[in-house]
Amino acid sequence: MMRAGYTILAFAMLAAWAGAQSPPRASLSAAEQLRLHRANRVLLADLVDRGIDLGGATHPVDRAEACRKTARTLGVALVQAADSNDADRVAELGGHLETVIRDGLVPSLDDARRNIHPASPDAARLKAVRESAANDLGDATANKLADQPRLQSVLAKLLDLKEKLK
Amino acid sequence: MSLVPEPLDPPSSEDEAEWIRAAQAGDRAAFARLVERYWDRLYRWLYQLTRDRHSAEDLTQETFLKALAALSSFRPGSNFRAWVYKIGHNNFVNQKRAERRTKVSLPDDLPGQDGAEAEGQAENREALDAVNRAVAELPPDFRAALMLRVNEELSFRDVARILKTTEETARWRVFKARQKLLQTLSPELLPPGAAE
Amino acid sequence: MNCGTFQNRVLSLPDPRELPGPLGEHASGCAACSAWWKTAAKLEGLLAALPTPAAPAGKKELLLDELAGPLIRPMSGVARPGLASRLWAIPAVRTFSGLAAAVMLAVCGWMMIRPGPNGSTAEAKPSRDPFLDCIVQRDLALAQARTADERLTVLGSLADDLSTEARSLSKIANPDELRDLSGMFQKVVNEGLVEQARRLPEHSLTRSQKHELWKTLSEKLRDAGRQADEAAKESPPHAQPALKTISETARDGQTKLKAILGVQS
Repeated sequence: MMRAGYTILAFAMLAAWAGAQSPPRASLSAAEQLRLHRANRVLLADLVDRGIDLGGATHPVDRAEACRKTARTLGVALVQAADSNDADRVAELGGHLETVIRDGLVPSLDDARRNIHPASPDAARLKAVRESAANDLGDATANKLADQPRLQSVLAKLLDLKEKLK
Repeated sequence: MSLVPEPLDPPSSEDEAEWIRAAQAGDRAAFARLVERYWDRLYRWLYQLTRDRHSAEDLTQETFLKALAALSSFRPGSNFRAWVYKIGHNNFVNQKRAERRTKVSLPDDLPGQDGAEAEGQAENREALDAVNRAVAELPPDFRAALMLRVNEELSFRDVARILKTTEETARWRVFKARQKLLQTLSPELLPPGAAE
Repeated sequence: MNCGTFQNRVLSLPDPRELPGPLGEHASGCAACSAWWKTAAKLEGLLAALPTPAAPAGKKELLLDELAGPLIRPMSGVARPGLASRLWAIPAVRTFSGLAAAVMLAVCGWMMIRPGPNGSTAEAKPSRDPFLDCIVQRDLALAQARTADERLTVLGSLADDLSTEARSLSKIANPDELRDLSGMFQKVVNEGLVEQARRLPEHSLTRSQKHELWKTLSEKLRDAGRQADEAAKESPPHAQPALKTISETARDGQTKLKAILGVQS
């Protein structure tokens, strides 16, 4: 389950910073390809399931909920990577989480809000989706990484994203 | 070739037991640890059998490859070392039928010693050289049993299991090997002033 | 005990250097046997000290290197074909460790793997997973798609990505991993493509749009099936079931989509 949110955001922030330090992309050896596949095997299966859900989500609220689940899937994997002290993986997954929230979840929530009557039952569902998404992210507080000057701008961006979920 | 071992002495360490378990589960790094542990010793023994370092090295590699292939048949809790050596001996026997044994004398490039030790080292080296030549003259079965006993300090029971014979025969082969060497080497083993 | 018995017993000991009680007593009392015993003990020491010449070809390091790294299926120009062939031929090794071949992965078209700055193909340091990147992008595309045919097109691309990954790994991944990939492909085709095509509202697409959609999806599925068949010819036996699943699912999906979308031959 999702941890106290500051952990998620703190590592997402670290991830974004670490991602900026990564070396130029090089060709993958077969061994590296297999290694990466094995490291991500479960996550890939979950994301494919999320993709099938997204493919069947014709209603805006359903689409927002499917996006939320996709973000949550990445968030859970990110927490696991953080627990394992796997900085590279944290960096990678944090980048994906940020992208999915920014380019998928937030726009889908906004789109749903625009297309749903405020008094309709769907509005209540949408509110629940938004609140769940905000809870999933949590608060970036009381974490030593938050004091890193280099990470402040990234942290601010993620906090801003979280604000958009409210 | 049946590689199902009978229960032998327990493994030498908990680490090794864990490596074996991991290797059987597919962990190649664990199998690599086993190779690290036993390669040199197996090579040494196979060298004594073949008297040829190329053959010994080939056989050692062959042995570990076959051990890897048959790893699932190894019974946890039994003696892994003896199991590997048994594979090695089987490989040697198979190879012996096709290859002519080449005797190799002691290499000339043994590490040098300083002046004070060189003299003693030279005498010892002469004795070693003599022993080496005499060991090379032993029948392979005697040599195999003797060197398993001397270098690996295996029990006669384990020696027997590796060589697929009885404990009594293993003990007899070691006895005959020593007897023959002593008959051949007594003068060399007692250089002037070196023995009491 | 007489001297003959003493000497025979000493030679039968596990280690002649260590005399048990009765034998020790005899040696203490017999100068000739004592001298003989010292010779026998010296011999034992020299036997244990016999040096072994160094192995000439570094095969230990070779084997350890192979065990530490990927197993390279022998191809022309690849180093160490002999050992690699032997290791590849071991079923246990193939099952649990896979074989690595010099196969480049092309995923998602716009995520081609490019050579590094020096053009080297040396094994990369821990890096982002391009396939993971691809799947995340497909999910995003699905989230952003606004029409049914857009979603179906992206699902078709997702299926294509999965079949490409399965083919790419068919020589090196283990059966479970390949089964997972073929299972994902099946899901995307059956629960994604076919199911969503069934749920298309009656008049949501014109006949022409349906035809175009069918053409796009059919091409992807046909290519996936054909390429899986070809990959199966070069892949180890344990990869066959997964590749066959992909091939059959692709053909079956084509047939169903054709019927659902009402496309005439």
